[in-house]
Amino acid sequence: MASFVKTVVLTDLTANNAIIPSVFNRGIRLAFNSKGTTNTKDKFDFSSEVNGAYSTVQNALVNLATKKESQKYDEEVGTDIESDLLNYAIASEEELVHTANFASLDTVSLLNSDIALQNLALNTLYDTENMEYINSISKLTLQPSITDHDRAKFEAQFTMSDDSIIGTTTTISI
Amino acid sequence: MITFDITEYLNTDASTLDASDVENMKSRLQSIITNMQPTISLQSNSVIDSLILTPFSEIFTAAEKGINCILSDVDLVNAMNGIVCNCDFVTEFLEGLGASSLLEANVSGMVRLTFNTNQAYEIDSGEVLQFNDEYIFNYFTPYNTPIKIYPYGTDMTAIQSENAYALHIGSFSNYEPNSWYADIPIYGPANVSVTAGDMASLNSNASWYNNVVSATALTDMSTFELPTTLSELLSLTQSIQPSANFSTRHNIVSYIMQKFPSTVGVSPVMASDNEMKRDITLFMSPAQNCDIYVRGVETLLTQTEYVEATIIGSGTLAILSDDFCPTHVPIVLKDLAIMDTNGTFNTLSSDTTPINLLDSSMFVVEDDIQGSADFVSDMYETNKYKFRVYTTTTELDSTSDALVTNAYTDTNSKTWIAITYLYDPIFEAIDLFVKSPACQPINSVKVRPFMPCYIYNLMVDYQKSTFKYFDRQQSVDDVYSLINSLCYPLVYDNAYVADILLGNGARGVNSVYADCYLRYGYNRYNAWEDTYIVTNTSAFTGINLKTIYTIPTAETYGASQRSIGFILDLDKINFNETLTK
Repeated sequence: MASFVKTVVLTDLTANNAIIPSVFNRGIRLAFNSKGTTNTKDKFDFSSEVNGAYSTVQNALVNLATKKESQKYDEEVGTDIESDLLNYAIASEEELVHTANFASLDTVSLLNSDIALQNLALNTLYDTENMEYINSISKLTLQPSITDHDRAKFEAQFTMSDDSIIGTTTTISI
Repeated sequence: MITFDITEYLNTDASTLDASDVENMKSRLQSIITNMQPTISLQSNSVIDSLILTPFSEIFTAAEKGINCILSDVDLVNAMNGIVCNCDFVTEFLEGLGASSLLEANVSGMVRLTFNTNQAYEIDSGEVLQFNDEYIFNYFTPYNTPIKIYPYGTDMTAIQSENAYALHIGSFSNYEPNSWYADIPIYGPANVSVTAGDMASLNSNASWYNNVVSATALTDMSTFELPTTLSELLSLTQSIQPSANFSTRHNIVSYIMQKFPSTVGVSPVMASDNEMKRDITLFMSPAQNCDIYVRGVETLLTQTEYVEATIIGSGTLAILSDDFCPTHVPIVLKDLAIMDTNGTFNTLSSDTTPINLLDSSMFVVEDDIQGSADFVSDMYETNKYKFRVYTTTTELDSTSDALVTNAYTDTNSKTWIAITYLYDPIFEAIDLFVKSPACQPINSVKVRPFMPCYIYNLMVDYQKSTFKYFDRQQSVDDVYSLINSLCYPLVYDNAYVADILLGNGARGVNSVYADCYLRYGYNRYNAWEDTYIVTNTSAFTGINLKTIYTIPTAETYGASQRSIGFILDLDKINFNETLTK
């Protein structure tokens, strides 16, 4: 898999002589279970770190599986996939694609918004201009397939702003 | 010490937190984290965001609200507006500010001890009185001496630094006095129910007990009530910011109001004020002069003094009283009466301006001042001045014309006169306190009653719509209360009177004008030169009362906004109504 993180060495100095770290967007890796679900069966792997675009992808996958309006302080978090599946609203794969497309757009919008804010803060911190310390998502393609009446499988492919591509497959079930 | 538990201020129910507050806090924390740990992912749905940042945002939001509550609770203005998070904390905080001393605040008043024998008495300063079989009062004894009561006629001017009082004549029998009284300041617990006229029980084992005819409350002593709600406590605390010195105007007001919470008004006059007419001390000297003008009660009390007098001259009645030390500090002379051969006192009056003439009949005796200054620098103090009444201009009123021909044709014959004047008991108690060793300010402080502007006619022309209700009696009461409690920085303005009338239903107010006398010093008898000096009163007719503050002659005596107080009787308020459509 191609490297997607902008490589910056520790000796790089900004105008205010602050040392710019080489890695950003560091998070805790979620150890998905064998079926890749993101519900309570998720496990944290605190000994392992995820960073850069992989961290963004992990956050995006969690968002895809999060029910819309389930977070009381941020209504933008989550998608309708889970609720549509739960409500048997999806009768065909065409409808699932429709739901997946909206979920994809919502997720990209949410994550890119967060990334833009954080990049702005980092540019301020390091006294730089328009540096993309964290790559945004250029494109998220979701290819769903129904595996059961309440279970769907998604193949997701992320294209980052540095043109790197990360593909993964996950299953969202109730 | 106030023990403080911040968790009491934390709202532990996150569901009650305002979402926008939490989001705002989260945003601020994100900025902090980005600055401190710039590499950490703070994106939505990240583990740090979901499991750390969001819960901590809730905790910090709750903590912030708690801290805001604390800050609000120590801001009395907020608390005054009813924004109180923790009543117990605020109560303790107020007590820390000195409000607790209020809980021990005393009411002040006076007791009249009436004796059957005119002789000297000595009462231990620790003696107590009991009113209504319940309330224990102490004598106010600023000096560390017993209470000494001197016989009637004693020259009290030479007696200083003692708890000393003189007997005065209380009643007559067969033209001779048969009871004598002394008025002594007392203090007792707040929230008591003692009213003027209530009798007190005394120590029956005391040596003077058998000579006491009665012990009677001279004033109501229920005027100050302890705060029962936090709101009242706040209001009181704010108005009497604790202070224990006379260094600033505000401190003086606070100090007086703390010691005498029921005082109507306190107006300090400092060295830089136009009203200060005593010698100005040197620049930067700590001993600056300060005159504290006090209005202790809204309605001044009335005192009648009996003095032996001599009929002088012939034809027109002229009287000259013996020199006497009055029981209280006379503020305005209200009446003079003379005893006829039947033992009855008959009021003297004049044809046109009774108060002015009566007032000009009472003189402070200055028997050791040669060519005295143009004004009495110590006027109105409670120093026990000697007074005398001398009048040649008074006439007997129509009901007592017979007195002239029947009783008082003999020059040099003796009789009794009754002198009735107004006084302020709280002012006297404050003056006594300030002079006492318990206070004794470093600077030269004199406590004085306001220079009286006696209004004998207040005329208000107003309009009333036909068939619309106008509460006339309430207007009279409100105007009376306003005029008699005015104290700098609140100064008289016709607008206040107009507001009262409009508020009670009048359609408009055309004019407010008054007939009054302003007195800025006692009249004096200079014994050295044997002259009677009447220069300290000005009469005004049909004026706007506001102009009373800027009378050039009066200002030279220090009579202006900070030192003038109004005296207005209820029956001197006259409304003139004009009906309109």
